[in-house]
Amino acid sequence: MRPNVICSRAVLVATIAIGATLAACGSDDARTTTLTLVAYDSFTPPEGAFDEFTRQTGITVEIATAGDTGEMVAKAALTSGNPEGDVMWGVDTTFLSRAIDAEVFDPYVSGAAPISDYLLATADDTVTPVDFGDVCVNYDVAALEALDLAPPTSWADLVDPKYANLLVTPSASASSVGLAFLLGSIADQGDGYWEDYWKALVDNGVLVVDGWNEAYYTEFTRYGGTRPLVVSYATSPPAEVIFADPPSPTEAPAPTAVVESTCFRQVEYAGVLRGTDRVDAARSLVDYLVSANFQSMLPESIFVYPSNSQVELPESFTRYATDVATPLFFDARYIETNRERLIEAWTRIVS
Amino acid sequence: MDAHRVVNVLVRRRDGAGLLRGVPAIVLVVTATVIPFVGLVAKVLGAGDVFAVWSRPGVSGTAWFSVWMGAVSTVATLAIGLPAAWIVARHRFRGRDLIRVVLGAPFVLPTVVVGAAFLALVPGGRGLVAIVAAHTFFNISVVLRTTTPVFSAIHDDLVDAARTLGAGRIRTLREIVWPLTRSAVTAAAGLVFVLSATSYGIVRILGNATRSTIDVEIYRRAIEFGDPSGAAALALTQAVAMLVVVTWSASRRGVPFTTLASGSRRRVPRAGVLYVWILAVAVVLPIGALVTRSFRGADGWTVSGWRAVFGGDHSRLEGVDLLGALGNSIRFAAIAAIVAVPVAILVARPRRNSRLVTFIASTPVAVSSVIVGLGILITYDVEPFDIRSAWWLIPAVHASVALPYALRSIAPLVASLPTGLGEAAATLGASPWRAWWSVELPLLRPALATATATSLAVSLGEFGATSLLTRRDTRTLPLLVESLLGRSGGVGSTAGSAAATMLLVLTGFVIVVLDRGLRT
Repeated sequence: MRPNVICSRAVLVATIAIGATLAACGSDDARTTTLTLVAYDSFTPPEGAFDEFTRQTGITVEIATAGDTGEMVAKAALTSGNPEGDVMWGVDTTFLSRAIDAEVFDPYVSGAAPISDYLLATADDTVTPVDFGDVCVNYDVAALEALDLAPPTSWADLVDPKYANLLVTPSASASSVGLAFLLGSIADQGDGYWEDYWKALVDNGVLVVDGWNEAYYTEFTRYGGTRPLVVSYATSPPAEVIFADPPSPTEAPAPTAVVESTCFRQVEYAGVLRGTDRVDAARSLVDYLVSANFQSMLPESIFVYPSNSQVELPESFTRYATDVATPLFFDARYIETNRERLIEAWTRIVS
Repeated sequence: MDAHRVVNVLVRRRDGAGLLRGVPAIVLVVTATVIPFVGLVAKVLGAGDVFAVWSRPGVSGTAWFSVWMGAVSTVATLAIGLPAAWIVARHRFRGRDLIRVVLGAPFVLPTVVVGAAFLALVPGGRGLVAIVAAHTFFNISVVLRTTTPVFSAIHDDLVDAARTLGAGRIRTLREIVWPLTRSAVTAAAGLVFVLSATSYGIVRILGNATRSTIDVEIYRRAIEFGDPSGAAALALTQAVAMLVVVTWSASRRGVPFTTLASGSRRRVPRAGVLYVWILAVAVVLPIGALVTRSFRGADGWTVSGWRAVFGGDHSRLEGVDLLGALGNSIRFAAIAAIVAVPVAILVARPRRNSRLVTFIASTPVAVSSVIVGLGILITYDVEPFDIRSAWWLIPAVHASVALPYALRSIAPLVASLPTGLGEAAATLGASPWRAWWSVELPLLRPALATATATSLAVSLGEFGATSLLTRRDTRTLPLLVESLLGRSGGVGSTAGSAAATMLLVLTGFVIVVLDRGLRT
């Protein structure tokens, strides 16, 4: 085992420079009243989301945003053992193994809420599943109708000449959504066969752009682009309704929908950061993150499904979102081991 | 003591002071850039890694692409930018101030926004041509900022004398203008090359996901592939190569010349005015497309993006604090400029500035901001000096990043200041400080205005390191733009474009105020 990095380094510095910092390495100090929750930038729970936790424990929660998920994990891996906060929200399937390998987490799986066995099985006994969501091909209902085309229903349809030049996807090498789509195609076609599938996609005129926002806001027909099929989230249709501008009439159907068979599942996790001097408080915060109170805020603020199976979904989800019954999925370990190889091969195919 | 020895003593005294005056610059750059960079490289890089990464598929291709694309972008930018800089610097005409603002604006836009603006203008316009065009669009302002102080300092009489003596246009250009402006032009060229070759956001957005520079590869290895040692190896290579270019281009010396009055008041030929106007329109078009996008929802025109960023619509966009981000951006930029400009003035002394100091002050340009951002996290993390989350780290890094640009705005003009002036003042009994304050500084005013505007602009637009150091309450405008553009639902697109427009307005305002306030 490695010695406590903070303490050993502090001791070193103290000996050289000041000599009085040893006290800080003891047990909990006065700062116990605040916990820092490290999260990706787009973690935007409603205001007051942690009030209930503060009321119960007297601890206030400060959110430290840390870039996108990849940046957050890269930073956490480099600062492993001397973390920038106490708890991390949002490491996902594609980065979990890297975080675990870098010993970012102090293992803790919350038992405070009912979470389905299949979600728990993916957590490697180190972190707690907090939410999940899918990446799927979305389509613009009106635009396809205008083209007199039925929505595609399968991976095979995407390489059908009928749907030539209609699909846009973010890059697998630059975007987590793009990577999820690539992984979905591999899960469906099989490792060793997906290359041919992607060659067929390229031949059928798939457009690859850098990030999700360009795919969705620049190339997708709904926002003035030319592509009625876009790789996005399964929850994009309810987001279209909630953020419709002007607000859409309550009974209107969502303007977009998803191709269910293309959906690839991503699970997000929360964990206690190794090196925090407030392990017990950090664990109680993880418990709160899966509590029904907190989980019920997730769908309409960050557009994910709660991991707590007792939480009821809001109407925007039950009405407009597709509850994907059999999503494609990969073990986090497989993704970490093969990511660079798959992305390099993919880049050669789409170049 | 004879006169010769007096001069010698004076010069020698200033020589020693050259290094001393560089101390603030060295402290700033070493703490905010060099230590984090070296700290990270030393932590993750093994001996064999420096070479191992080059055998990975695609890596050497990115290096080659960086070099030739950088060269092409530099040639295009100079060819288009230098004539514009000459016209704007040397002639009075209607709309000149407006054009100066317009041509200076793109530099501060986060490259993410520049890329998005290009796409808004030319849908589907991706590929090599788009990349070079965007770099030209982005870097014309660098050429302008670096060369206008010197261009405007060339006295009409010099050019007229050459013409009167029978030199043609070309010959005047080659034998009079070029020797006087060479140092500024090569400095600009070096900077543009480095900025293009290390380009990140533009290449990602306009590169069809298939073109990639070393900087893009560094980010991918550090963040997406979990290969920090490969990233460090590339970052080290890039830093060394770019430092060579920057140092070489900044060390070209021009011929010293006297500037007692600045510039020319004469009218410019019509074709010249037409040229800068066309250029200004070309710059405004993508920006206009961006502004349009802030009003353009999925179902027609709307102002809800603007309402959302100004907090009038709390229920729809959680965690968006435009005024907070605006305040942070202004605060950080002000601090960065207040630190960087005086430090740059101290370094940029006539002929006496130490090479070592100039070299160190140039390093931030050459160093990958991702590596600096990550480096700060692992070097300044030792209790009780754990300052990773200190807000002032961000303006400190900005000041360090801005320093090379500030220096380049000042140095060419300083280098061309007449030596005799300061020495005359000294002979007349003025202390070196007094001579500097009352004689040299007033002559440097145009350069100071440019340096301040540039420092503010660099800070306002910095993205790479800031995004790794920021906390929710220290988020800046470019980060807000990026985060808004990544949201689902139409309001993310309009609100993101609205925030980008705010950033643009802020920068335009800064440039106008400084130009008016310091130049005249």
